[in-house]
Amino acid sequence: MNDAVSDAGAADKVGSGLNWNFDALQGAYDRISDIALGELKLDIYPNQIEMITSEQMLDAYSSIGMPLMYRPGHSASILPAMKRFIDTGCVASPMKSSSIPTPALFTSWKKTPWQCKH
Amino acid sequence: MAMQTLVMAHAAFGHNHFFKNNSLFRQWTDAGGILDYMEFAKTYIARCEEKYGEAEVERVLDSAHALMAQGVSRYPRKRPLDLQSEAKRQAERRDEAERTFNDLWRTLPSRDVSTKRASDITERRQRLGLPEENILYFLEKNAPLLKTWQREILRIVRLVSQYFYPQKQTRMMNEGCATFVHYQVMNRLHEQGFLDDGAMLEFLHSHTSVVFQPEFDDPRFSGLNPYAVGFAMMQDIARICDTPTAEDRTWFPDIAGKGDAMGTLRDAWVGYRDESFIRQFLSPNLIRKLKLFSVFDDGNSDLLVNHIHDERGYRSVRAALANQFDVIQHEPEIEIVDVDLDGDRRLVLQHKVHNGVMLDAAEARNVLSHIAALWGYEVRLVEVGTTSDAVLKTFDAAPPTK
Repeated sequence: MNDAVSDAGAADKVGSGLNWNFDALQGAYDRISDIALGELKLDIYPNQIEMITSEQMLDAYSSIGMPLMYRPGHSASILPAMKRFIDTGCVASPMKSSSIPTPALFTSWKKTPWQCKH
Repeated sequence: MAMQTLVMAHAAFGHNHFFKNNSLFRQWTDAGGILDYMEFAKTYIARCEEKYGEAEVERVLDSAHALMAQGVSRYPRKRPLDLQSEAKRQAERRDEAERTFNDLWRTLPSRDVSTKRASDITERRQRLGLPEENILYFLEKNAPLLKTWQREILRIVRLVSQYFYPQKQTRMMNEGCATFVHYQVMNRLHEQGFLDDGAMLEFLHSHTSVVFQPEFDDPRFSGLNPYAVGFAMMQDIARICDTPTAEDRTWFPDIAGKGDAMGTLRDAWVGYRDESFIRQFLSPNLIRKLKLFSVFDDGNSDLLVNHIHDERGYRSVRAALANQFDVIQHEPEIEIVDVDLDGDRRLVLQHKVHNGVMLDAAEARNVLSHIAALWGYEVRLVEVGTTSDAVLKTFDAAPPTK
């Protein structure tokens, strides 16, 4: 929660930048939900939004994205690559089949340490 | 907070919808049980480490991980994996496995080398369920020297591998779906005034780099970006539904001009995987837009550009791209074919070589030594052609000496 700041804006507006807080997140989530479920008619599993650090994100990635995979130590062999991936914010996708730049969607994990879990 | 909003739209809604609805996921994965199962796996492995030492556990896990891609049964099962009861019934199942395992070895015909007739070999293969493509499964059930906890670890790695198998086959669609959804959502939020212009620009910058596709002669090119292809195809399908050209009407009479873009996309997200999605929906319009062409390589002469984005090329380009996204066509076809139970218990694997593509020798030796470590006896891998049974190459590995 240290990352949370109070000037993230009211829950009825999203601005640029990395500032956020839980109320603002919830507000954005609700707005997205109205569009995704109401207009696009998506059908989803319940979401659980959690705060995690970039180290935890690293562990999650190195255990194929599952937050509860067995102890991170076991993934030692793939950690350096993952670490580079996350630290550099990055140009390579971790998937071997595609070294296409960027998933900026991934880079955002680092800057804003939280994660969605279904 | 544009990025957080983007990621929520992308993952919590886009991916989430795809996971919940795509038929491959429905068939193969048990989302309700996965977190509990992971918790069980984590605890189980931690307990093994306390009991048998980290090094021992690490060794088994390393070998199992090396075989992860060979821990998948590729053909549809009758009912989805039930991970919840999987965790609950672990002890019960272990006893059963033990019993089956012992029976298997006890009921083998008595050792008589002289009567090694074809019918015996057939019977033995039947008894062992050979040929078997799922190497982890075979080792879990049949490796003679493994302890119960080691079998359980193989099982855990195998189930995890199976759980993730649909992802490999639907990566482009899954990313396309998530990207399409976030794009729709972010634009609507901007329209509604909820995202200010700065946030929208920040989002667009990120979105553009996610769907960036370098040209084939760009130094950054390393193949097709699944985000780019998936997003472009889904945008294109929406266009065909809403504002079709005459060409679209000829190619896609079922959806062109029908106007129900979201409904069409939702149906596609349910019913297809990358390969079949391309085969069904890649349009001439998009082939032109992406400037797709196909290159023929017979391994000997010069490369030949045999199809381009023109009237004669559309179908061939589409078929070639669909094949390229077909996971099954790109994984080596390796099966366990025999065990020499009468002699030295050597395990025999066969790789059927398609289009002359052999295994990387160093990789094959590495993986084979992991199989030998788990099997406990020698292992042989034979590469054979698909048309004749002529042996192209043979690898041997022995278990590490203790």
